[in-house]
Amino acid sequence: MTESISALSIVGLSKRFGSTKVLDSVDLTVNYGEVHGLLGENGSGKSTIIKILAGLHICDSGTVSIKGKKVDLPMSASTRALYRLTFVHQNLGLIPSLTVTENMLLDNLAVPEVFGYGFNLKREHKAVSEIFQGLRIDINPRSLVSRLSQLDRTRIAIARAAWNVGLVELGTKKTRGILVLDEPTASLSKDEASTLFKWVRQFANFGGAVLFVSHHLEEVLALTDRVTIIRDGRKVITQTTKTLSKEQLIHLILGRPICKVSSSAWVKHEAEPLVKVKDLRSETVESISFDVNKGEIVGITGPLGSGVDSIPYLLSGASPALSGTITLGTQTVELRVMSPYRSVKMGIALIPANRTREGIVGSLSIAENIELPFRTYGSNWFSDKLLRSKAFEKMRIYDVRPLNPKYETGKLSGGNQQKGIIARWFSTNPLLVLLCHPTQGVDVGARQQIYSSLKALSPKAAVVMLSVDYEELEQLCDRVLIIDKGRLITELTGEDVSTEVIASACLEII
Amino acid sequence: MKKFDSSPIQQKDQIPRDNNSEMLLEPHGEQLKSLMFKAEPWVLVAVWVITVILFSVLRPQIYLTLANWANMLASQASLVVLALGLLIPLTAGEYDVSIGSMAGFSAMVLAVLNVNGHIPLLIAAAVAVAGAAVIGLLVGIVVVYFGIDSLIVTLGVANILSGMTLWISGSNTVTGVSGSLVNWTITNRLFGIPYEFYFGLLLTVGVWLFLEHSATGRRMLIVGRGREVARLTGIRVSMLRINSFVAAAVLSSFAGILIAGTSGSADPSNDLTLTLPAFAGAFLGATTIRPGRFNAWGLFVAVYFLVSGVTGLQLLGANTFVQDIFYGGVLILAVIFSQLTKGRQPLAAAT
Repeated sequence: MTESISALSIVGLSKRFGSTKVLDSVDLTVNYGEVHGLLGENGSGKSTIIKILAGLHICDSGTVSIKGKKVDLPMSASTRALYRLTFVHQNLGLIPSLTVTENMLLDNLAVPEVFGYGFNLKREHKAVSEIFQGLRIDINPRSLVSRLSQLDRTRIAIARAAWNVGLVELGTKKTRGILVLDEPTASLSKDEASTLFKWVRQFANFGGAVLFVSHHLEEVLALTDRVTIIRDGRKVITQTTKTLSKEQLIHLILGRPICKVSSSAWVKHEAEPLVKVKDLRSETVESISFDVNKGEIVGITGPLGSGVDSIPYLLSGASPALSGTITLGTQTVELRVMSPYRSVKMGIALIPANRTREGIVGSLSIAENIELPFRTYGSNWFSDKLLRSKAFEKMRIYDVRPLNPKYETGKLSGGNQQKGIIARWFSTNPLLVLLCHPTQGVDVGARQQIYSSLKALSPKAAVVMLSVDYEELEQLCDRVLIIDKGRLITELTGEDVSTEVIASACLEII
Repeated sequence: MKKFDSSPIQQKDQIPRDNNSEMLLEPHGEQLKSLMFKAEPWVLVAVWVITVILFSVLRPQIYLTLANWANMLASQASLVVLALGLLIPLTAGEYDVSIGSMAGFSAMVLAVLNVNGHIPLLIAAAVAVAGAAVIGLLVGIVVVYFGIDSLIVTLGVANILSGMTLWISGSNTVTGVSGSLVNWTITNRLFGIPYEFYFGLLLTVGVWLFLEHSATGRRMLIVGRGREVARLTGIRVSMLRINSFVAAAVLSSFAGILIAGTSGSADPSNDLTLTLPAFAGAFLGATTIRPGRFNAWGLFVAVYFLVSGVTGLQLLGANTFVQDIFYGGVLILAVIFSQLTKGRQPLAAAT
């Protein structure tokens, strides 16, 4: 605060979506020469701030100043280029079908003022290889990004940001760039992350400003000078990092003291579990094993990029696994050769995460969506009337409204679409149900109905529920498995299945 | 994310449970809209009837004769069959632009075997159909396993087939196809209309049953509209996509056999001119009977509407080129029309 002109200054930023205030008059100041951490739970509003800065959302009120000058919102690409404001988002923003060089140039190509209008590919390749040499990156600028590993892609995204922001010219002149890192380490190894941090630190030492968004508290503690904590759309505090401990940070993020995991071991049921997953490996997870009993609801959760999202897809054969087996009753299947066709036949039901892309066909009727995949008719031939009457029954049981099987599914509310998907699967009496974020984008009323449908089904089946809504996990689950960096970290049982403990356990992951 | 969704959804949830009460609550404009909605399936049928009445009034002595109608109904039977073949890959979300060439190739295979090779008609026909099925299978495998856009693959196949047709025929029209084929397609009549028409009608019923009353047909529709949804619900997407090309090839070869029967010969040059009218029929058909879906009866109506119009215009003295302009224009208009009818896009084939 001692420096007269701050790099980035946000004052009174507010934003509402519908009737919900996601940002309520947030202030945030990042100075030149500092690494500033931005912390908060999922849904606290921190990503909305980043999106407003990046021009993806328009704020309702508030101002943003750079170098002490007010800038127009939403910020244009040329404004960002002028002030050297650069982002590294978690999805990296690379185009896989283009070469490394083309990707390195992406941001600048959008701004003719910076790039000019001519283009000499040879010259650009050479420029990029020089940058890579300086950063000690060993990637051929001519290769396609689609051929590179996730690690190399992350490196390129960060190198690009470093280049745009002026980090590469370090030593030649004082930089005045602003670098926004939005969860950049989710897919990085520890070594990679520490290399990145060295660059970031160096950049700040030479006078650059960094806004660092992460859920890895250790990283935040190690790297940042100050932190701002956001909770429920409001700024809680801005404080010097040195004065804070990890426990205090968690307390500030959650708004309540940390809950320790009580170490009461899970009491194994006498009966053989209905579902056994052994040594599941894929590109996203490493050696995950767990059991689920009949009548049990097991929650799985973890931070962004932990790989937990892929587990239901791997178990149902929707994504390819490298190895591992699933045992369902007496059948054991290699997950390497699992397919959705096979898993559906075995009695595994997947309720996918992306409802509109993977769950329903919006342009078709509710009846057709509920009766998918049309295997319960005894014969291949059926009438529209039979289809509708079967669907109608299920719509009544699972309360899908409007109660009209001909209605176009895309016009339903999110809650009713989800109830339709639940009706499709629960009515087939599945043995294993894999639920992915079952109540995301679902209103309160529909949510309660989905919960009660799940409770009703539960005694007959094993349920694995992926969710990042900790209250939901507490309310429904018998056990919760916490996954990070593709590994099973903790298993919470009994008393520990509570919002506070799950949240604490997720945050303590390093 | 989930929080801000809640309020509009709650409002939406108050949509009345009962369909009838929903109607009653609609304001006046909505009532008109729902009337239009109900009339939509029959618009093209009405337009067809009006067209027929118009030309009957203008040229009663020629247009309104059994001979003219028998000719119109029979001459379009092969186009109906060809478009039915196209309907299946379109439903599964794939394009097949090789259908016309496939029909021409099958007709030529049959003619060459039967006329030059003196092979009995039924065996020659069986070889033509089986050959088409094998080519369809190969197309499907290339599209699915190499992940290549079906438009590109079938465009290439169309040219290959045209070339092969010229090759096996020596670039000459092959005449003298067995009289019994000619008898069964064009000479023998029921109620004054050649058998050919009834073959088209029968296959229309068959494709209608398949697409709308069989589980396999519905699965194909799901594959076309939401491939990822289909895959995750355990539908064997690759198999259905491949089979859709096989079905298209087989139906195209049926169309080819009808063409050979109609003229008693096989012409190596007319194959490419068949594809576009089939597309026009399929897309125009998707605006009627079951609007928003490629459907067999819609196609049937569309094909006969098109020929009624073209024949009428020609009777009024229009040149033969009017046909090309008419079919091309109708294809584009049909697609625009189905895009305008909000929310229902038969063009789901794009991805």
